[in-house]
Amino acid sequence: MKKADWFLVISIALLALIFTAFNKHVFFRAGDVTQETKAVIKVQGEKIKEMSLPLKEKHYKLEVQGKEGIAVIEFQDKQVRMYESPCAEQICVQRSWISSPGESIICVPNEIVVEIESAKQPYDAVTY
Amino acid sequence: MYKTRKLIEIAMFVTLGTVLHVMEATVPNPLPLPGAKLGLANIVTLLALIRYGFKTSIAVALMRVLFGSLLSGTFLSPSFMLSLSGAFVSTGIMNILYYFVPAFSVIGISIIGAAAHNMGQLMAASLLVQTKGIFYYLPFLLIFSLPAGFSTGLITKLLLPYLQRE
Repeated sequence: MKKADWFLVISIALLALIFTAFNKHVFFRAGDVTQETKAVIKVQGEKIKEMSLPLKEKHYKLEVQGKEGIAVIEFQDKQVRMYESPCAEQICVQRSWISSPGESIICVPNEIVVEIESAKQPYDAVTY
Repeated sequence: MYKTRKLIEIAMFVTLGTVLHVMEATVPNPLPLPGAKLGLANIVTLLALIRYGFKTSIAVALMRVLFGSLLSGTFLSPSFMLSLSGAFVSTGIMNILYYFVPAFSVIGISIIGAAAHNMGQLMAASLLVQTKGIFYYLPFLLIFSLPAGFSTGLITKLLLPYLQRE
């Protein structure tokens, strides 16, 4: 390994650290859990449903047609999880319950995304 | 003589790459990181790059992904898109480094290739599912790409003298 290689290793490790910090504080700002939240369900990039949490029913199961087949999304109180999915690796099911704003369940094979957003936006507007 | 040798070597690279690609997909992943793997197929791309340059390395990478996906039955599926974009981005970046930044050794180029592969895959995945949430995963993959890139780079470095012996 040359000197430049070590430099590269250190800069990639630093980049990963910066990304982690950035994720935590800026990109996926975890909002206050007690405030109003909503679950946004996207299939193949299109927003198909928005549910304000908590729902009126204590338990609720929603069937969603994904790219590979029908997935079942379960709601309980303020939590959401992928209950059943036709995909091979079942990563989305193992992700289990999510409840705070910024968390998400992403199923790549079935192209379904469930994201929790806070109903109130933390900012009025963002300019670049 | 040179032409025949080149033909045979490229055929060998594509075959080896395909086998490694399929093998890696069937070995269960012991880590809690879905999608994290050594990227052994990157060895042949890197060998093709060092031996025969830009065009050959791109051709070997693309053919490897194509045949590998046909054999494992994932042709045109999301995982095929991810491998394709990952292979494309990493081969491109490795070429740029190899030709324009002579300060890096084979191992450094391999590490950058592994990191670029992950970035390319995540970019494709985020386009596919239309969410930025997937980039939350990037730091974990970047850290993992260091040992993965190092080991494939080391294997390439050890293999090169055997190929260069005429």
